[in-house]
Amino acid sequence: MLRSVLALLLVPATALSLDLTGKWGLSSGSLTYRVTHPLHKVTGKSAAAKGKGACGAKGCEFLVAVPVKSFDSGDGNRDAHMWEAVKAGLHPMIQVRLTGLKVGKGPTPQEVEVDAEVEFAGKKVLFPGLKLQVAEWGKASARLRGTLPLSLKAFDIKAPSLLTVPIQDKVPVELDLTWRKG
Amino acid sequence: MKGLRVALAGALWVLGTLPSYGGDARLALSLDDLGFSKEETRSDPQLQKDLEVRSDMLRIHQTLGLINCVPMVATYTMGLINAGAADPDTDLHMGLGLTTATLYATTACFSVFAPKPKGLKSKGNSELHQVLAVVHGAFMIATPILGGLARQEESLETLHLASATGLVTSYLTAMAVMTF
Repeated sequence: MLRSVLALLLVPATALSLDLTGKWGLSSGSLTYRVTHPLHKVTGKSAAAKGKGACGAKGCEFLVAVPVKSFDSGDGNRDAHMWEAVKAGLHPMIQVRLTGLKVGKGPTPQEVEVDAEVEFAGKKVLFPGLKLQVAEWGKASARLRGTLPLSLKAFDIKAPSLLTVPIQDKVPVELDLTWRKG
Repeated sequence: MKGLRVALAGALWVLGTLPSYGGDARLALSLDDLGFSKEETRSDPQLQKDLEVRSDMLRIHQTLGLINCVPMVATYTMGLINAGAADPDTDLHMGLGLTTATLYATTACFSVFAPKPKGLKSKGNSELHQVLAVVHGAFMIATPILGGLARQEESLETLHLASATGLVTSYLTAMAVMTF
């Protein structure tokens, strides 16, 4: 009977010691935005993201940041206009804070769900229940991919235009983040 | 009883060794934790001002550049008509040419004098546009000079036409690379 009590007390504890507990660092990350205009479809990519995370008894939190000026669309003038539109002079960084992590069941989950708070162009916007696909999952590493459905209006950004025609309000940002423990 | 105490002690020990973040009640990562330099994270109001002035000036440059297509093409067309005419209207052609040159110079100023913020790299279609600007700039200088000389020396008319053709072609191409 005492053995049963011990086992009952120990099982929840071992179930709580998830692989996620500990400190995490972003070993590589890229963010890619997509802009649509009747005359152009443009993508701008940055591989300059840095991030840290931590998981403990109170949950997990991850913070990823990337300099706005690190995005490269292949055209210098277009990049400069983008800096102006998103007020890069005043707010040089984009920050993405991920909390409320929910991991799918099984030893290698296919998907995770997070609440993402994006700080961009001087505004904070929450994206609850954002689903990220698991590209790779190991004991001490995870590669996650997903899309932040950004909207220019949500961040009070005036849509740039070409020949008086503005770009579309929706500017999805694709995330490709590889995390390593330790 | 002794066994129960051992079990409870064991359970408490296991629970106590579970990792927790920082010992704080609240998780609180900040930008300073990520390792960016101060230069990368620092706000620069002067940069923002330069970017806004640059955008405004380039918008005017674009508008004037588009408007300038009209007198430029009209001048060129007039020149082609004059070339085949028995009684060419060179005064009108010259007047249109002068209008083109004046608008051209004004358009160019808005581009040349627009601020160039730190970190701005010339590449892509914008770079091609700038290269073409040098080409049509040279033609813009040569064409009226040759036109003036052709009024005294008819043999220079062909060169004037060739220069004008080069001007219109490179100018319209410079516009196209920024549009498509």
